[in-house]
Amino acid sequence: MAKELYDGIYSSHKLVFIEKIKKNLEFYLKDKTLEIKILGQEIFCKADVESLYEILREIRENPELEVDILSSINKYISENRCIVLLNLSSISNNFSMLIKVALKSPADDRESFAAEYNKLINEIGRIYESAVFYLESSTIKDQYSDIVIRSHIMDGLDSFDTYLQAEDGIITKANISAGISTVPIYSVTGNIGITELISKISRFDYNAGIFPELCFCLALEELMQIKVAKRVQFIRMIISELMRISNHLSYISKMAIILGSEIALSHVLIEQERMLRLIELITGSRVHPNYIRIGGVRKDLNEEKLKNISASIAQLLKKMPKIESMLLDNTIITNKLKNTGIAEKRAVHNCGVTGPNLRASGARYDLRKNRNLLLYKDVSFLVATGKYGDCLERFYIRFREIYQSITIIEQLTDSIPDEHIKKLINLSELDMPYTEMISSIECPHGVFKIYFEIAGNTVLKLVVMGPSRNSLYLAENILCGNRAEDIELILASLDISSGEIMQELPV
Amino acid sequence: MMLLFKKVIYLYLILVINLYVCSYLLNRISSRFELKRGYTIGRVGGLGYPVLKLFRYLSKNDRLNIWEILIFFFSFFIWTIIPFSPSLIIIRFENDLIIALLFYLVLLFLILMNASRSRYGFVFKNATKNILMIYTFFMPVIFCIAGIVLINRTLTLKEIVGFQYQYWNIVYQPLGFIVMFTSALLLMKLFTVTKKSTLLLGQDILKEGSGFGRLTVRISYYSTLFFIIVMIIILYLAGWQNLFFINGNIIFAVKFYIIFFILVLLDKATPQLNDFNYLVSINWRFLIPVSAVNFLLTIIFFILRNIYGII
Repeated sequence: MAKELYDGIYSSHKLVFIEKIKKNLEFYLKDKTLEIKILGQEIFCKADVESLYEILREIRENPELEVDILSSINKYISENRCIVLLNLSSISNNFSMLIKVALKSPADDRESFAAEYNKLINEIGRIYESAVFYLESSTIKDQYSDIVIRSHIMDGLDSFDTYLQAEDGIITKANISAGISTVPIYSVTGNIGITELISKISRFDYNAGIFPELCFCLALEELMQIKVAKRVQFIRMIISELMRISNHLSYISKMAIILGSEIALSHVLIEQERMLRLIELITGSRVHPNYIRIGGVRKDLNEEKLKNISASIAQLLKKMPKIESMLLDNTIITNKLKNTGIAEKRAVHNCGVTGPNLRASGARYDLRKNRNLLLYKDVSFLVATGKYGDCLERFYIRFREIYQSITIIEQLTDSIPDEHIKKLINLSELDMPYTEMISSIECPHGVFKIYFEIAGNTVLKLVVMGPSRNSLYLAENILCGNRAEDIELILASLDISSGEIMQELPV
Repeated sequence: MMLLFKKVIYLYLILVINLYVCSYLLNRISSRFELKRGYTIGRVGGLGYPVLKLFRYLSKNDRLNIWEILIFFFSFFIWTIIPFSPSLIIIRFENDLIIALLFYLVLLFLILMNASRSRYGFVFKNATKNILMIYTFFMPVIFCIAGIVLINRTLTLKEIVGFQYQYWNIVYQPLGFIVMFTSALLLMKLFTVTKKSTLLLGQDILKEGSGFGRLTVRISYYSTLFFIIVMIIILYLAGWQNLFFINGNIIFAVKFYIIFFILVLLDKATPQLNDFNYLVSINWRFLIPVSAVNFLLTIIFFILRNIYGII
């Protein structure tokens, strides 16, 4: 009986409390908003430019809502109108909401449109300070800064320019401009078929390509109300944990290069190679897996592959303590990492940072636990948290997460159910009415969120809200007061992924 | 004349063989550490690798400048003063310890000047910082040598070795030995014989072409390293004194390679020190105080024994 009940429950029905918050919002913002509805596990709200300030003030100051974090501001152009998406979230009530605002001036007229956008951002900035980061024409200029680090200089951090003012080798002001990552990506973000998009969406995160795919497919399953087989969920969890380990290993290798520990670097690279081979064995590709399908996965796992996974994971578990002791039992390295780039809990929250960087500052927030993502409820694991939020803590938490991922995979491979997976839908006959959808997932850098509009068989608009943009804003804040030599270390310790910073070039 | 010529030939033969063996050992150890794989002869750690590297340096077109020529000349010339064995001294001075130190300082100066003229580089922005750093590493070394001179009451290297026929100087000066060794290790890290130094030469050094000039710089790095190892052996480990019935020259070579091996091991096992403040703090918190204490103890010992005749 319990099993039948369990199988009958869709993921959207698991969260009832969202309904409550929606009712509250409707009560407080009755006349001000155009529309309030629930999309997936989040609240979606449409508003006018004039009433936006009042809405924001209400939701910020009302003790029953307490929306105190501005996660991101994204803009895109549709039908000659600039549309701004505000991504807000609340810690105390554990929900997040999206506000959609359409600007009045046409997108053809660049100057007036930019002026209106900046005016709007300044207005938001009166309530949420972090809005200043999203201003269109930044006031940074080369002549005002002492040190300019161009995007190509630092290895792996090639998607933004850094402008610094320094006195006696200590940074007093930092500005980061991600203008170089504003690129024409229309072929991915607009008018694209669903199957094509699943194969292309992994470009937004080349270190862990499975997560964008999974995020998109989960959203579509939510829309279609498809019940996914338990075995499929298990396979998805296994592959996503493998990707998480691979991403964290590449992060550790990056840090090892900067810290100058060659021995640890070579050991980490061997382990990462092992993980990548495993991923290649399962999905057929290393970087862009194209593995998740709506309601399933492309290939089933057979007995041999499962054996391979558990053998490799056992080897990794043997090697990881060695690597950890090479890097963290060394006083030269820990002295370098300790007390550099300290990010306090409040500051991290204000910047809207999520993922390991947030957990390193002491907040226990993980979508795998906080929301019912996939079947993470069935496995037992701990969410690793830190305390001080410095580089050492951020580095250390990645090791802890790798160990947690290993325990998760061990449990999953032991208890994967035997089920026959059958084909559920035929995408060529799919015909959907016009809808909007939001979906989010816990990727190795933080909470990866997408918003898209879909009609018929094609995605009309896709907006990606990656967590790395928030990390950039955090970097701006925490670089001040540190030595100029530590810039690369601090930036690398935040694990910034270039794909997530990518923004669509306004026409 | 023929004798001198013979000596020169011997000396340079020893140096070239040493360079070959050391670079081979270095590649071998680093490749073992870093788990590198590849074909046997061409790979890092293969027997043919140093030769291949030499050809690679020579095959590149590179305009020589005055500093590189001077470095090349000096890195060989320094060995005319410092002996590998009692008979292999080409220029004889009475106080050759001071001359050797002066030559060493000049070599360091030349290396720094060559780094400063670097084509792409950053250099003068941080050159003063680096010069200061290297010469502060020189200070504890001077303290230690002064202690040795006080004990042995001579400035000639040959006599210092002769003094140690019964007990090695390391017995009298253990602190001095530790300081000397650490300073050698840090100098090795600074020059990074194992790697191109981004701290000393700037980030852009990685872009610089590798020609004959690069080869001379590399030889000079080895030369400074050899110098400090030889100094440690002569001053603390009884140089070419016979050990029981074994010939002194063989013992000298064995000591040399043991110290080199330990230095390379330590260099590989510890992470790269590209942090200026950390290096300076090591110097001011550890090396200089310890060497000063060592020097003071030696002075007290000297006064009590030689002036008051108590000990």
